[in-house]
Amino acid sequence: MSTALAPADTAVNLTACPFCGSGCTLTLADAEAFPVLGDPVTRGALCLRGWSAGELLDSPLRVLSARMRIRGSPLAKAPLETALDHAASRLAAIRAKHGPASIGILASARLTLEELHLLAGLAHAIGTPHLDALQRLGTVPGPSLGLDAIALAQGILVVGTDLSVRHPQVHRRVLQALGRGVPVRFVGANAGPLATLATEWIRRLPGREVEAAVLAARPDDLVLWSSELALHGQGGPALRRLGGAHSWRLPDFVNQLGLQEAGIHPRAGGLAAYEMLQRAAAGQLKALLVFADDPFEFFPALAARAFQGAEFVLVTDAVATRAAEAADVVLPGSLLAEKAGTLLAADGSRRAIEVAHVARAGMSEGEVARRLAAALGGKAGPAPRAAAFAPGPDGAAPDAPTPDYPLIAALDGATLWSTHPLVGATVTARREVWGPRTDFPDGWVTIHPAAAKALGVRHGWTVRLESDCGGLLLAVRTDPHAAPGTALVPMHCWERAGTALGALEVDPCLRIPVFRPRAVRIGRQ
Amino acid sequence: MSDARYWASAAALEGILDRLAAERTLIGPVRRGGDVYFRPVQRAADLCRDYVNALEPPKRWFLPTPERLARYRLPGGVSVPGGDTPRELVFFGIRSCDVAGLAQLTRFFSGETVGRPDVADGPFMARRERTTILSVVCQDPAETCMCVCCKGGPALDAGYDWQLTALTSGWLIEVGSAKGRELTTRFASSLAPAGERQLAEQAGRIAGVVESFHRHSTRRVQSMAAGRMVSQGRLPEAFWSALGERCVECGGCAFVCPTCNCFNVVDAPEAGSGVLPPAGGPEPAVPGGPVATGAEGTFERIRLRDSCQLAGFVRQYGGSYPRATCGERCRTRFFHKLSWQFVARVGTLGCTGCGRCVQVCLGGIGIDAVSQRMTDALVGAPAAAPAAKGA
Ligand code: SF4
Ligand code: SF4
Ligand code: SF4
Repeated sequence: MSTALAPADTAVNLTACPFCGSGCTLTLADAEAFPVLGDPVTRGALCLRGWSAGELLDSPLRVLSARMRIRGSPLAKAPLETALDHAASRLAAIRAKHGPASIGILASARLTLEELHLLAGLAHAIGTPHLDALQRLGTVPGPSLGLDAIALAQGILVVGTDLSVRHPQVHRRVLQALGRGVPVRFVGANAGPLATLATEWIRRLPGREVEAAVLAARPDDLVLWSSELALHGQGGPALRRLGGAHSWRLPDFVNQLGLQEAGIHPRAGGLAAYEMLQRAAAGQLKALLVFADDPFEFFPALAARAFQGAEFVLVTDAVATRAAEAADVVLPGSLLAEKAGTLLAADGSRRAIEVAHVARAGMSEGEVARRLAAALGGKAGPAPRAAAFAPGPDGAAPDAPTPDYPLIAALDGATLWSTHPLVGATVTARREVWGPRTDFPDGWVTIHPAAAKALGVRHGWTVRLESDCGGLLLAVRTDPHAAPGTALVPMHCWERAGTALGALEVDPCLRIPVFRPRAVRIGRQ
Repeated sequence: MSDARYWASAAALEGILDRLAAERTLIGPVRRGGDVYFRPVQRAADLCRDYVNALEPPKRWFLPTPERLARYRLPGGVSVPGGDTPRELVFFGIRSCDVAGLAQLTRFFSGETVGRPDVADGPFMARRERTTILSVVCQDPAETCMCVCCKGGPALDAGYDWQLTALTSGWLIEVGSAKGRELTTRFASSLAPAGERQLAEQAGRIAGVVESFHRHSTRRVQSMAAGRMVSQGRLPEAFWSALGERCVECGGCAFVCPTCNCFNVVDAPEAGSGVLPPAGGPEPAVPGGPVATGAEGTFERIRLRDSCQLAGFVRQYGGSYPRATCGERCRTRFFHKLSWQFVARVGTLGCTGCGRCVQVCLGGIGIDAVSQRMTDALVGAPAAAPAAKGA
């Protein structure tokens, strides 16, 4: 039996890793990803997600054909043109009946800049102001620095982010700086690798990192931070107090800066992504167009109500997701490796990517947007540039521990990738990040082993995690990386735990859902 | 060193390679930007001349990932795809460290290391048997190269079909196998017996590389001292947990290592089935899990490259992790690189000194830095900060 994939061509094509904001360049040798040695960011290294990127090409979860349902019936395969026509006519009917603002569009950071502009064009053609992306997370307006800034830094202050998970290439440069004797200080609660390796570890509870960093920062420190701060409701303070010439907010996802450039954020009169889900759930938004993202990963209950509440949902994605399963029409998208286009790298520079693999499905998200915009006519020409995002006021402050509620519940940033739809479509990266999800299928809370001992609970036991608003049952995982005094909830339990504990809020500054650190206690079951 | 040595002019070698490219798939170094990749080429003129090595190890041609091992329909039973014969490949220009790595992989996948030829890996061996290796001796190694420490180069005594050394004029060819002898017979008219002067030039060039390494390179695989520390279990827990803190579990060191052979086998619905994980459920049946009883559809058995450094690699069914921490998994990896026990079992070190793990490691713990730390532990010196040397 021979099953070696025969590499027919001699070409070496360079694409980008579709995951984090590092923006590594990789080649696909057949379906096997390798880092590029000469690329100034990649320098021959990838993290496991990048190494697994080739597994996406033939993933069982690839969407290779269109599917549609006539309300209520199961999704069934349909010719691409039929499904596109059906989607266009449903959207036209909804617009005619309820007006253009009854349609919302959810974009994604894993589309090229050109595609994001096509999505803006689609919103313009429909006439809706509702265009945003859940993957905007904690993106805040501001300048970008580059890896050179780390090479030149005299001192580095890393605030509240586990770079080894969030930004492995920056983590690598920070370790190299440590090796050169540059003082690296880490502000944060949890014991990630940098916390232990850093020159100094300034321990603060989740939600308290910004104020500690402002006090600790020295004039020529390079300040590195990521969306964890914003996800804990600290987006406003971080934006206003950590910004500045020596501050680099590291983007989480590959083309997250492209979202900013293409004006994909709440516009005047427009809803934010999370608000679109809320309005659809309330029956006020009649149609949702979801491109290359899965709102069910973070917000399964709200997404289910939104998909139920909307009259029509179109999902376009390269991989099957729960969103696709719940949609009325599913159209096949393409992976970055199958596209040519431009990405905005973490340092804000433009990067061209090449087609590194023949497109499996022959359609891309951008093409779908272009076709729908043409079918829905309306205003021709490119969309006018959206105004820059205007941040609002700060959100509520995080809780402090109390005698009755001595622990602070927060999100576990180390679990970010377990909710990424593309990670879920690989074999190897998925196996690594899904291990705990397999071991604790009903969710968990992570506490320090000493805290478990003090509470008299053991790894694997079920406990009640509760705040003054209410509580929920979760399994306990003990892990020394959780700071004593914290109770960490994995990202995929954000909605469930956040709702029960009264931690899930919308941040008025960035208009994103956040998990406000809440004072909690753990009770034995 | 093999006894049969020949000389060929540059033009004659080019002619030989062109003839081979016409009848088989010729794979050699090509350049894109500043990097070198091994790719099929149409003719010898397409090959790049000044290169050190590629980051992709040649093992990807023998253990492609993902590799589709079988395909079956349920209900119904197993249908293994009928054996397409792998293509005849000719590698030109691969380096000694990779020839040595391939030899080690072949000993493993042929069952030789465990004395069990009956468990030989069919797909690997079929590809290996249809491959001709024309290796080229390095004369200008990279800053990360350490083959001299591991008997992995710059030249080898065996493992190749032909080993070529570029001389001031033409090439010296050493023949290392029956397949190599067939080639010499076939291309006899293009070859001349090597003369004393050419042999002396080759020996001088190789000695020059070795000497330059000892003099100028700052990197070493400290196989003696480090091997002793690992083999005798003299490194404390704290040594390994400190390594574990630096490793981000990217798997890269194993993926690029020419000797690493870890792989994973999973059953999954065929590509593009669009089968979804059950809503809110735990590990779905796909990809990677067992196919549920009563499943319907077409499934594939896929082999993927893997790394013993990864937690998921050691996870047992039911959720226990025998080597639970990254530090413990680091210990296994380096035991399989440097220990006497490993050498006794496999015949050589698990490292040929290619230096790739130095290039790919996000944590700055390539084998040079780790073996240096082990040596420091032996002599009682404070552990060197590996980041200082990290790629
Ligand atoms: S560091 Fe980021 S861009 Fe690079 S391989 Fe990992 S996920 Fe991809
Ligand atoms: S351990 Fe490192 S240097 Fe040694 S053969 Fe493997 S990749 Fe090359
Ligand atoms: S290359 Fe380095 S960081 Fe990656 S798995 Fe190997 S030791 Fe760990």
